[in-house]
This record gives sequence, C-alpha cells and structure tokens, in this order.
Amino acid sequence: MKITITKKFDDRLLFDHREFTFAEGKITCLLGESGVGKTTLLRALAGLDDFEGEKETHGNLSIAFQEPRLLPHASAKGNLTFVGVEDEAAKKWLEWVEIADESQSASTLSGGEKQRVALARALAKESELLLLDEPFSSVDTARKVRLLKKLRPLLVDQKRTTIFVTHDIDEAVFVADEIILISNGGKTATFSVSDEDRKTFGTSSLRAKIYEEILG
Amino acid sequence: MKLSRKKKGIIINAVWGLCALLFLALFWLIAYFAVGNDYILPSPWLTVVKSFEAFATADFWWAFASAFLRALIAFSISAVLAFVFALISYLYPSFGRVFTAICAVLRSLPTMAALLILLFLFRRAEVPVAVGVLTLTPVLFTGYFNAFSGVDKGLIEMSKTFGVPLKKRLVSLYIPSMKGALILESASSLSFSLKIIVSAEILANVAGSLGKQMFDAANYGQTPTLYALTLIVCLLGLLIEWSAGLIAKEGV
Repeated sequence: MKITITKKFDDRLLFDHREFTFAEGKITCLLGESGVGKTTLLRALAGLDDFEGEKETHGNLSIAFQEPRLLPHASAKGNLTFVGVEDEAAKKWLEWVEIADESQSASTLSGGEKQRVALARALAKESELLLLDEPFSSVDTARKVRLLKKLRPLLVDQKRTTIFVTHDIDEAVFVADEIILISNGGKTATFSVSDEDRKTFGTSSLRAKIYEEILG
Repeated sequence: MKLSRKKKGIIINAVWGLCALLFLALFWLIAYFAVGNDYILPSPWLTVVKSFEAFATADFWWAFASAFLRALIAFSISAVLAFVFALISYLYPSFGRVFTAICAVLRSLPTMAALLILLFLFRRAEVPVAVGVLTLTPVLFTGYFNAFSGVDKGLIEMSKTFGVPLKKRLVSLYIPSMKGALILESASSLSFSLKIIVSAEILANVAGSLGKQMFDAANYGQTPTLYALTLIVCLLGLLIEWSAGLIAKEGV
C-alpha cells in the first residue's frame, strides 16, 4: 500500500511530497518522537483527514485510536459487539487482552483497561488494513510485555497489512517486520527487522543504528 | 436507620425547598401588615382558606385538568417539532442556520401580541395551545440541538470508521449519549408549558378555564380568590417540575 503525502499541521510542514510504502500482509511500525506526524500519517491512511497527495485505496479497515474511544454506557463486551464482533469472539478477544470482567461498564475501567478493550476491538474486527496508534501507551509494563509477545505471532498469522505507531523502540522491534523512523521535517529512515534482531535487540547492531539515526 | 445518599439528598432538597417557601410566606406576612389593605394584598391565611375552598369545587378541578391537558398537548407538539428540526439542523447545518434565525424571531415575538393575532386564526379554546407551541418550540429546539451537538465527535468518528450501520449508531451511540440532556430539557419545559397555558387562558378569556376563573376574580374584586388560584397554579407547577426532575434523574 502506497501513499504520497504533503501535510501541514498548524504552520508546520510535517511531510513534503513524502512517499511511504507499506508491504501487503506485513507489519510496519512508524517510530518517532511526539509531534513528527505519525498519527497524522495514520489518519491520512485511514481517510479520516484530508491531505495533499494520493494513496492507494484499501478494503475495510480496523483501528485502535490513540484515545480508547469506548462507548461509556456500554460494557467492555458491548463495545466490541457494537462494531459487529460476535458475542463469542468478543469474549475470546477480551480474554486475550486480559480483561477479567467482560460485563464491566466501560466508564468504570481504568485507562489501561480501556486501551486494552480498544485493542481487542481493533483485533477482533475483520479487516484488510489494521491501524494501531500507540495501543500500549497506558498499559502497565508487565502486561505490555505479555501482550507484545502474543501480538506479533497473531498478526503474522492473520496476514493483515498492519501499521503500528509507537515512540517506543522496544515495542517497534518486538512487533514489526519493518520500522520507518520519522524525524522532524518528515525525514525518514527505514530498517528491516529480522528474528535475530528480535532475539538480540539489547546488544544487536540494529539498536545502535536506530539510535545513531535518532541522534543524527 | 441509615439512609442512602440518594434519599438523604432528596430530604435535604425538600428541607431547603420548605425553608424557601417559609421565607416567602414570612415576606408576604410582613408585606401584608405593611400594606394593611385586604383588597390590595390579602393575608396569607385568608389566601390559604380560599385555596381550600377552590379545591373543594368541581369547577376548579375541571379547569385545572383542561389547563394541564393543554400544557401536555402544547409540550408534545413542540417536542416533536423541536426534535425533528434539531435532527435536520444537525444533519444539514445550512438548514440549522435558517431555523436558528427563525427561533430567534419567535423568541423576540411579544407573547401577548402573538396571542391577539392567533385569536383571528384559532378558536378561543385552542389559542393557549398555539401560544404554548410558539413559545416552547424554540426553547426545546435549542436544547435538543445542543444535545445532538454534544455527542462525542471521537465516538462518531470511531463508529463510522468501523462501518457501524446508521441504525445501530442511532440506537447504541446517539440516543444513550443524548438521553440525559433530552429528558432534563423536556422536564423543565413541561412545567413552563403550564405557566404559558394559564397566562394565555387569562388573556384569551377561555370559557371554563383556570385563566377565566382568575380573570373573573380580578374583574369582580375577589382578590383573595385571585391570589389563591395563583398560589395553587404556582404550587402545582412546582410539583410538576419537581416530579419531572425526579423522573428525569432516574432516567438519566
């Protein structure tokens, strides 16, 4: 999937006729600090915001927004069935993201729980394109590590084109086939991630390369 | 016996309400002694006696029932019109701008002038309802439109992105989000409707109505009766507002 984008945010030029290519059926991570345009790019891909340029059309999509965006008056399960997920599937996905009580009202869930329900909703909904915008930003570390470990095998199995936004390098390496590092001004650098990199990330040359790119 | 927080709240509100009424009664008593003329300002006690006399007559209850029915009809018509216009305005902002301007004109219209004009167009008994609709519709339109506009834009975007059908969005997103505001707005308008209806009945001189009874009392110098009827309508209006508010809070 390809997009060519020129986009301003307030008076700042985020992307100037920048082209991004996302491999079909693969997991691509957009990595970068806050404000470089990761979410803006994601929203342009989803067709939620206007931009100058062009993009290839995609089939239906599923998204986990940066904010959970749950129906406050519905239960955790109700938030999944609202988007068309069957009851049994909803139950299964809520267990997958470690939500203990599917009938708990969304308004009484903690920030981390809400984010996990939103992730379950995105994963449960069948789609050709999956967009995940910082899905673990409010999740506690131990649970995040457990979910990240399960997430990649799941996404590989589903073979969905997945675009995952994060500002956490470890998350990016855990999950992605490819990392696109975005810096201020729309400058990008692309890194392929191998299974070897995932095993040895703490000491591998990939980490050094990414840090070198960030520090310029 | 330990009371729940909710029941404590109701009791506290009732006590404060009672204190307010007692304060007003005291103020009335002081004013009565200051004026010193039963014809101009009757005593609270005499007014209460006349109120009980009015309660005892079938005429009063028929008159009150017809005023209440007119208030209900005016409110119902206004609520339906306001909801439809608010929905259309929400979906088509251009229409919303036009209708908001029309509402501004209706709100500026002197109610009594409107009543006199409507006397040419409607039968006397129907005029209070027409006045009620003219007055309530702009008020309810603003409230309902704000309820529509207040639905979380993030949730709307989420539901559209996931391809949730319109009917499901209305039932599971819009209505639950708007329910509280709609109920509270409607509850306060119902009580307001009664006040408008009685005022219109006075001016339109509707036969057999509460308004006519008040008009006749004023015309024949029966000031205590006039005060008594006014007090009764006031208290009944407060009761409707309080009851509607309780129902609204349960619904919310």
